[in-house]
Amino acid sequence: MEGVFFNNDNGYIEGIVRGYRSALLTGANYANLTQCDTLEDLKLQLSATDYGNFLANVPGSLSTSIIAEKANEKLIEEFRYIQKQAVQPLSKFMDYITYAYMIDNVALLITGTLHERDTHELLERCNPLGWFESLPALCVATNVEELYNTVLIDTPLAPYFKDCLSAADLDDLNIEIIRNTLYRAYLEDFYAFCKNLPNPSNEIMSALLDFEADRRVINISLNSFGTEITREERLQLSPKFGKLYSAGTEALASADDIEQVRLTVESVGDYKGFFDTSNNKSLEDHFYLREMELCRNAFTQQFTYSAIWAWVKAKEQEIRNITWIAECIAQNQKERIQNYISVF
Amino acid sequence: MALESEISKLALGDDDGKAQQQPIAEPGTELSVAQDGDEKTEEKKEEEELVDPAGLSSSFDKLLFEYCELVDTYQSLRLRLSHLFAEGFLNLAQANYGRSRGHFGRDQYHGNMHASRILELTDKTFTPLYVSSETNDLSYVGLSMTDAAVPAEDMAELEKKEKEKRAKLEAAAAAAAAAAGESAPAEEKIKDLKEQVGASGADTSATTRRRKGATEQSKDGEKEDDEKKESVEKKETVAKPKLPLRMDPIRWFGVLVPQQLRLSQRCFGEATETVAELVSVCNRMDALEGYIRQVRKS
Repeated sequence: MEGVFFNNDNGYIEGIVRGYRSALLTGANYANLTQCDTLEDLKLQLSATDYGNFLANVPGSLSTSIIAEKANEKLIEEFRYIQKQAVQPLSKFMDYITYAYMIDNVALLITGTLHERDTHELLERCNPLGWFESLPALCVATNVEELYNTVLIDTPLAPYFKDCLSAADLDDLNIEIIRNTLYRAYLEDFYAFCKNLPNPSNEIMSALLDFEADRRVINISLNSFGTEITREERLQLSPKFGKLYSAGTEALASADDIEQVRLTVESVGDYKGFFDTSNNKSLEDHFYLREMELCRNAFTQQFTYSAIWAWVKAKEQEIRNITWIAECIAQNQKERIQNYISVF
Repeated sequence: MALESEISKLALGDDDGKAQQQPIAEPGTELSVAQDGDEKTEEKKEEEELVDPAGLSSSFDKLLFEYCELVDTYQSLRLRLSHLFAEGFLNLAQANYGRSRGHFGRDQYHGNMHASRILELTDKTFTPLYVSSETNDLSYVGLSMTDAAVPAEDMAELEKKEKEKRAKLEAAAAAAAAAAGESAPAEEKIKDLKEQVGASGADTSATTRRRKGATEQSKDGEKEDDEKKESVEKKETVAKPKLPLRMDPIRWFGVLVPQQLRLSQRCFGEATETVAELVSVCNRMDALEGYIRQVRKS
């Protein structure tokens, strides 16, 4: 019965999102892009797609970072357009999507303070999707409690801080731990919210978030080899859901080398081929491929909120692909140019 | 071809260095420039590797031989440098690709960054090889990269943090011993830990592993000895002193950085070393060239 009333509030938005989805670059588009020899050619090819003249007003010469920035601006504009039309519960869903960017912005500013940077110049580098009113006030904090009590207590991120409150000073290790703990709390909260969505949004979002959680756990485990992060801290950063929870997350927290990680990950059927490095595919490539497959499947169902999440993720992947192709062209490394992920 | 013509100019004198150059008639030498016919050059290139510098007729030839060896070193260093830079940038692009939010870049730089490697210029001398010892030593400026010293205030802060960590470690060990309720092996543990802490100095990563070792040992008694041995071994292999944040760039980008970023850092680090070597070789070549011109005039 869910389909009957969905269109009341969300029909227009779903229509727009499906329009955006059909404008995503396809395999043929990417093939054309890889044939380009210079960034100007790339700009020309992109003008024939939905991107149009997004690079029209760029002063000076093109660089890969400018291309990535402008593509991001386009995504942000489209997201804002949809967000303005949304009502509950879709507006709450879209707010959840923005919390992830807020966490990134908070981490960027606190790290900037630790690195003795002028945080006002960093404010411009914050992701606009993660903007909140008291963001500029973050520059003054020196420890977590101050951070929480003066700034974050009024923001939507406040409930995620309860596991991080300690009198510890903000050094680089602690910032990383705080950032990952926040993200874990956010994922768990989002997961709980999605479970209450009407069917089939809840199933699709659960599958997507399960994968996100598993990916984080694996990355945390792999990247913490050779650093000072302890087993308990690794467990603290792992979300309490996902296919790898709970036996897998414990094994990954104690893992000391890549072999142990591989054994644990391959115990889940869906993740069996992830550590296969033939065809120049790294683990990250496998992750992105799987995420894109899940997103593509999410579009096959109608009257769901998951279409928006899937579109955002697919668009981000597209921006990554374009940036990679642009880098390969700029660095004259055409052999590696085929490393992008295209599922549409 | 430009390098070969330089060498020929040096051999025959600049006034002769016009289009018509007669290749020197000795079969075993690589000094001649074959303006005509690539076969000659190739033959001579093959014979290059068989030339015995002691067998060359004049000391002048021996000097030129050494110059050519330096040119060869220069070329291989150049190749290596371009390869390292290409690898470094590619790995950086890959690290950026894998990162879902934002790029590794200026935003994460430390505002007060301090160099961790310093380029040292030293006056060096060398005697030309293969030539008799009556020649004087030639001097040139050699470049090398060394680790920079940690500034005093950072050193003081690092030591303070180290003391705090040691205190925490000892407290944890004492708590673990009390929980386990075994007095004799616990004392041994604490003594062992104190020794390790005293010996390691500024090594905090080994401290963390021992902290792990301490808590786990209190849980399974049988594995105690094995784990202690393991942690001692690990401590011995990891002996690098910890740098303050502003001298350790990889930490600016977070603690959990992708492996490609570390690879990229290594490539760029080796590239700067290669640049130092390259300039040293260049200076050496210049000194030798000056000497050769001198010898030719006399």
